[in-house]
Amino acid sequence: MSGPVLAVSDLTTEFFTKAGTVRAVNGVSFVLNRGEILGLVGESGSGKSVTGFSLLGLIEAPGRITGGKVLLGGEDLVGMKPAAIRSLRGRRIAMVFQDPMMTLNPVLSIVTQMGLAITAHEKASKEEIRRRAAAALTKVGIPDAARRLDDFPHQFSGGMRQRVAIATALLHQPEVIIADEPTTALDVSIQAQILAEVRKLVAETGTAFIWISHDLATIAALSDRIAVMYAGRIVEEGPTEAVLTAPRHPYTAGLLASLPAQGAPGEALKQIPGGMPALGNLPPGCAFAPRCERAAEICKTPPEMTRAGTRGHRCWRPIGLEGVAA
Amino acid sequence: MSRDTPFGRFVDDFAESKVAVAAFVLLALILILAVAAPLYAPQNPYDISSLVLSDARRPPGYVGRGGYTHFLGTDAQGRDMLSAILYGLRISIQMGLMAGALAFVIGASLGATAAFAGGRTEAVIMRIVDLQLSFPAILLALVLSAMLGQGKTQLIVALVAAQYAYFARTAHGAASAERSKDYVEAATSAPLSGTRVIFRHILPNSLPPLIVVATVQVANSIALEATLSFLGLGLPPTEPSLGALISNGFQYMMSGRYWISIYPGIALIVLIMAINLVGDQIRDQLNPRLKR
Amino acid sequence: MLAFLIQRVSQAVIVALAMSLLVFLGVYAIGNPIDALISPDATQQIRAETIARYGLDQPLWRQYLNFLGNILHGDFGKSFVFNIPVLELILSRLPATLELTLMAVIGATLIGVPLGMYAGYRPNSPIAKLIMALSIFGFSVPTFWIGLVLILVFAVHFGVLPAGGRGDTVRVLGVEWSFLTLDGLKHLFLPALNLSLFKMSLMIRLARAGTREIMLTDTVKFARAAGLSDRTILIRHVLRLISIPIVTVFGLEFASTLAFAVVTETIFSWPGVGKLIIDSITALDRPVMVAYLVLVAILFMLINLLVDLAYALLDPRLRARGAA
Repeated sequence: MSGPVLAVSDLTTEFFTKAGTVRAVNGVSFVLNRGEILGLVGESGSGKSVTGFSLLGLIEAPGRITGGKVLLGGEDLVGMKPAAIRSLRGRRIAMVFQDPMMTLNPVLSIVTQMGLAITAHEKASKEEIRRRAAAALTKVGIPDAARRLDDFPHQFSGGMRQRVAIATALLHQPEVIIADEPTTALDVSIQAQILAEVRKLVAETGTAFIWISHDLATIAALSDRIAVMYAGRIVEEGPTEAVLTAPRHPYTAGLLASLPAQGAPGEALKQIPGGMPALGNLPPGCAFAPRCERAAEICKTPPEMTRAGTRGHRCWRPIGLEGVAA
Repeated sequence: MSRDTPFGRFVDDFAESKVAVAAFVLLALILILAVAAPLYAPQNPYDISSLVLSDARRPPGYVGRGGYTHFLGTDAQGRDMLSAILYGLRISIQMGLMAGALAFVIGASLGATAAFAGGRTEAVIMRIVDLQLSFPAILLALVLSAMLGQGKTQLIVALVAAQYAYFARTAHGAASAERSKDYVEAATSAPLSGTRVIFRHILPNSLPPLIVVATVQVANSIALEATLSFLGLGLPPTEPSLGALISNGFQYMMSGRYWISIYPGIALIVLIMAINLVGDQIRDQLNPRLKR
Repeated sequence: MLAFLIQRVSQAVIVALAMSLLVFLGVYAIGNPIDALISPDATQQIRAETIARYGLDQPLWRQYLNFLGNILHGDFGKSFVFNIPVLELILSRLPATLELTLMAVIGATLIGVPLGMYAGYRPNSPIAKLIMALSIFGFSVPTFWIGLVLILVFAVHFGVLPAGGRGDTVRVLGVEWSFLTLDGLKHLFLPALNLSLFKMSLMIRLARAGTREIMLTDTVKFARAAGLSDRTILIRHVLRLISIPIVTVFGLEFASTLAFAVVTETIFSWPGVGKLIIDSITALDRPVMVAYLVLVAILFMLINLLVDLAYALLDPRLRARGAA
């Protein structure tokens, strides 16, 4: 299997509301390879979750994908007929959400819910469903899986519930799993367990992950590559270690500097002044310019994504590359 | 309407539903017509001396002794249907609003007090409220009406007794929820008096669910009163409300004199539907779970 | 679970007692039943006899205790009007009311819930708008008026259905039921329809509101992300989730429908318990009124209990709490 598993080019999603049109995803492009974990980082309102939903075609009115391509193994998901895209969801591309207590139906047993996910795509007997569900639960590290099949969501702890959600996503061995803030609602120690579990899964199955989060620390620990989003656009991307040790975009640098771990004890925490602009009210040119200490006249024109090797940055005045013509 | 104030936004959103606006206009029209009825109605149906028996049970369009056309016919006592309906609307609205308002005030006060008193007081009050809620309003109103006899005050007492519990429970729920919220703790820890906390903070946040209940209950009061009158309880036969008019006309339906029952019925339905349509829109707008 | 049951039952008993007291006092405070039993120009002797026979001269608290004692023996006294034991009277009329009410509520749910779910699933479609408009109509129009119109249209104008009364009955388990005969069904149709319209509207609105809310939740999003069809989502997830509030309302509404049957029975001359109570109120037949209200209160307690049980069955989260 050659070539990337997922190739997104110029994806644009807009919401047409009474208050105006909001462009939540603004020409986002990236590529995902087999067995790769891509971390999509950004604050609330940056458009990262909407990007995730757009990939699965789950954007509902008043929103709509208005441009771009999402190629899953060569097939373009944008503009696909609903029946066709439904057959792909869960089977070749799946999603895990933030709060498993909200995503799992409290009145149905685990095996019932997983069974529904299985029979959505193929016929399966009751025994087969139980077998596959138990196998999936065991794979994500839930002990005594066969006996827990008939339990209800509230009988599991938070971390376990999220594992159940991940197990459900894995049922059809999809090529891509999109995880939207999956560990944000969990304790730090449980988070670490889930991250370890995911790394193991990726190594075993070769599933590619898109890990969406606002938590730089988790992304740093887990992902192979990282893409930083701001106001609907990707402003920097590249191998995680490279980007985090030598950020090129001032926003990335700002995020890193504001991590509590970065500050000396007793020192005031560094903040990026100001706030992200509302997506319906973007300034012309670079969206980060109003808050950027490196901003100049040229930043009034929207910067393009400049690629250099495995990295990319969307900035006229990138850090560490002064002297390199934009 | 400017969208700067919450009220402005509310009115703006309301105006988007053409049906709700139409219903609102209709409702306003009915109210005006009903309140002003004594000024222009051809006849005062409560004035027995103005009733002419030989004009009884006449079909719509008949010109009676009074010299004017009975556009909607006359009933068994010779009352002009149009006038009777207008006065009947007046009474229905009066009863519905008063009962609704009283039930609101009494119920909400009770519920909020229970939420604040806490402990045994709260338990006792809410137990009574819950028990009453499991008993159908119509039976309660029926029995009370029968016990108290006919008359406006008695009817209002019956209606209020049957309905205050809904307000009490809603107010209790809202006040309890608000009370345990952090902002109340913050307000009370800063030295703000209890009354101030209640009126400035808790009440405004508890109002939406109470308004929702109110819209339902006003329509219910009107329907309940009509039902009671239909069954012969409620208001005395000399001051017939719409329900009583319908009841009077029931026996004549079989012989084809439908207008005595049908027209008051239509008036009643239009009134209640208008209230429900407006109420529906208000309810949808106040429902936080439908906001995206 | 057992503790829960005992608690609820004892609560019910206390309430029934309180109800009986309230009802007793209230009912006996209305008017003087003597005047309903004997003509005004009856002799003193007849008056005295009647008073003695019905125990109307004893102090109120005495009458109440007698009453309470009798109830525990299943003796609610004799009807002033019919002169047969009240319990017998009520029980003989109960099947008619039960069959009417059950038909109405079941019909309302079976038709209302699917309609409401559709309206909640596609809220902006013309069909949904039509359904909602009809539901507002059914909700706003007082039951008695619809009854009148139904009679006018089907019985008077078209003459296809009877205007009142109960049809032929068949004896099953020692009770007369009319829904098992064709004639019975013909007579049952209009009053059941009449009674069900209000409930149907309620069910439609409830199902619609619930469906609309649930369709916006993460549970549905997750199911969609897993590739489930909307149809499967509606039937396996949404229906199951809204069944909880619907069952609750079903139970409450059953009780309220039983009460509302009073109106329908009056219009359609349906020989049920509802018509009985109206006639009793008018005739001041106190024992019947008292017995009816007490029995109805007990019935409501039972229904509430059943609803609580059903709730626990449908919502697995409650089972854990109950057992803990």
